[in-house]
Amino acid sequence: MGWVAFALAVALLLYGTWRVWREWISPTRQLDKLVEALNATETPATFLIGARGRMRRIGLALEEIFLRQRELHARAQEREFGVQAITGAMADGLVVADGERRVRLMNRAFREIFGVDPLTKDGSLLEIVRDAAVERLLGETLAGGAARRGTMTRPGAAGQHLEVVVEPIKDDAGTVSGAVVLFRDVTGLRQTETMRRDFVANVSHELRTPLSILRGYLETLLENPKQPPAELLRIFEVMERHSNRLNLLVDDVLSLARLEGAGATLDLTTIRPANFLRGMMRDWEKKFASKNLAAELEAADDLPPLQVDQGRLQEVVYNLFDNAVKYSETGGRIVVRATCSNNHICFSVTDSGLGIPARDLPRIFERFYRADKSRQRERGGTGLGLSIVKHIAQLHGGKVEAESEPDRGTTVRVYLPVAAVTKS
Amino acid sequence: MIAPKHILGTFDEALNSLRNNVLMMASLTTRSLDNALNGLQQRDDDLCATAIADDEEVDQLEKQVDKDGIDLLLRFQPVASDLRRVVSAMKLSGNLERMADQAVNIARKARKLNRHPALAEAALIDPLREHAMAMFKDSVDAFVREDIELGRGLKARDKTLDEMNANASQRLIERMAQDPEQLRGYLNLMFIARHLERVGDHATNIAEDAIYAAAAEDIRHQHEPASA
Repeated sequence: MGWVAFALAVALLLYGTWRVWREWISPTRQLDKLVEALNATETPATFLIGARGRMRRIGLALEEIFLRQRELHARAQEREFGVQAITGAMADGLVVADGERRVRLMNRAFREIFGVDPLTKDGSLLEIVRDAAVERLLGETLAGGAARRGTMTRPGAAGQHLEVVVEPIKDDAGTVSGAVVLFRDVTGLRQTETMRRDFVANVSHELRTPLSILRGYLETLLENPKQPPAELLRIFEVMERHSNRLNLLVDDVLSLARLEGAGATLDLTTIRPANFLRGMMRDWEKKFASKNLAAELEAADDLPPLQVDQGRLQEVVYNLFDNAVKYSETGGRIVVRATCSNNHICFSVTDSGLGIPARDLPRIFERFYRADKSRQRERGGTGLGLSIVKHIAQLHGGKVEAESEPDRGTTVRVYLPVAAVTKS
Repeated sequence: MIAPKHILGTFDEALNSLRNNVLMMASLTTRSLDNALNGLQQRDDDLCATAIADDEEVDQLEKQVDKDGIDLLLRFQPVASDLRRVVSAMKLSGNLERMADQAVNIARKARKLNRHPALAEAALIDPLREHAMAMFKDSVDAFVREDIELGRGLKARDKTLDEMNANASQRLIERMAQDPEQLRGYLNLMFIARHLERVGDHATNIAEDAIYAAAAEDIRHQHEPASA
């Protein structure tokens, strides 16, 4: 009897242990694994815990929480992606600051302008931008609730100019809770403005020089009309030369304006490069001879034909020849070449003249830029020739470049595409 | 203009406001130095005048920082890193104020130079300017970001600046001997180089204070062992 009772007790104990294992220990372990998986942001294979009752309910509740959290996360990511896409595509620097002037959001352009480390997340606007003027604009907007506008210059000799706009962020009640600050780089605009001013100043200066000479001689003639014939002739010659110069300058300015204008058109015809250059050189024979210059043409007759505006191309070659003659010493040599490579015809004119210092070379295609200011005017010329050459080449879809060695000579190359020009 | 004074609630807010005023000083000082040096390089008296006039604002901010700093110490009696942050911000403002004074000095000398024909030797100032201004920017960066490594680098860079100043002065002295007519001009350029060298010294001080605030380490007046 005693044995039976003992066996029953053991069986009961075993059953009890098994129940505890099944109901509590095993599910707890599964739960532990489940939570661990969730923690590592993995999706668990199943939320069903091998138990019934309470543990199972916990598993199902966990699943629901997990799914809801995943959806929220996806939604947040979507929104974040939208914000990133919008702000990232902006060319202007953008910053969102809260009421405490701490930066809450910044876009890629802003990081680039101010060289902000991508890891930098917070900090006040002043800490990042380090500009008292911007800090004040932000302070005024946060205090007054009105948008503010200003400018700032980045430190340094070649300071970058930025336009700053501060827009308040208001809630429904109209309370200012922060501000959006936009930074727009206006350095290019300022440069354009300076260039325009310089151009007007240059044109007026260039116009005034021959005019004042003309007026000087006119006054001389008015005061004392009875000049000896030889002197009169000399005066008229000078006056003619300077009126020609004025004429040239006005022509050049007008032709530049036409080339730069939106309505610049090309009157395209087909030319053979070698024939074209040969013709041009024949016209210039006299001028080359006047300085005893040896001019050579190197152009193969089988170069592909070009679709160009012949009048404009003549202007290009005229300007290049004119420079070559002007800057060559008597008895020098001029080589004119036409070659074909990469679907472009390259016209080049090489002289054996003064050459251009390396530091001036990148700027010689600018209007009125003169490499040698002291000697330029005595050689004549308006300072616009190469600028015109550049514009005509660009209008044809081509480009220009120059290469020079002081005292050895200069080569100017004009590249024009062989393929039909689409602009008409 | 001084940033509006808050009713200082917590210590953090008070410290932030103090730091903001110091950063305002740094920004104004950078601008003044830039104005003065651009006034020299572009021969523009207006820029020099602006640099001189703006000094007043920096002086006012320095007073404000001193006052706020002492208020803060009395009210919150901060300890450890908090205390160091307050003290270093106050020391920074002193250095910044003296840097702004250097900007005024440079602007005054530039104005004198502008009254005479341009000297080609003015270009000797450019590398010094670049070096000193980069040091200044990095020292303030070290303070803002509590970047100890950046701060430590400043001392060696200050030595380079000292050498650059010595070289420039040497060149100017040679020119004085060759061209005594322009003696005044060369002398003014020498002073400007010297002022920039002082800017570098203040930048080094700022970096030292930044390191002190961040790491409680005093690296002032430490001499590196002479390398064999």
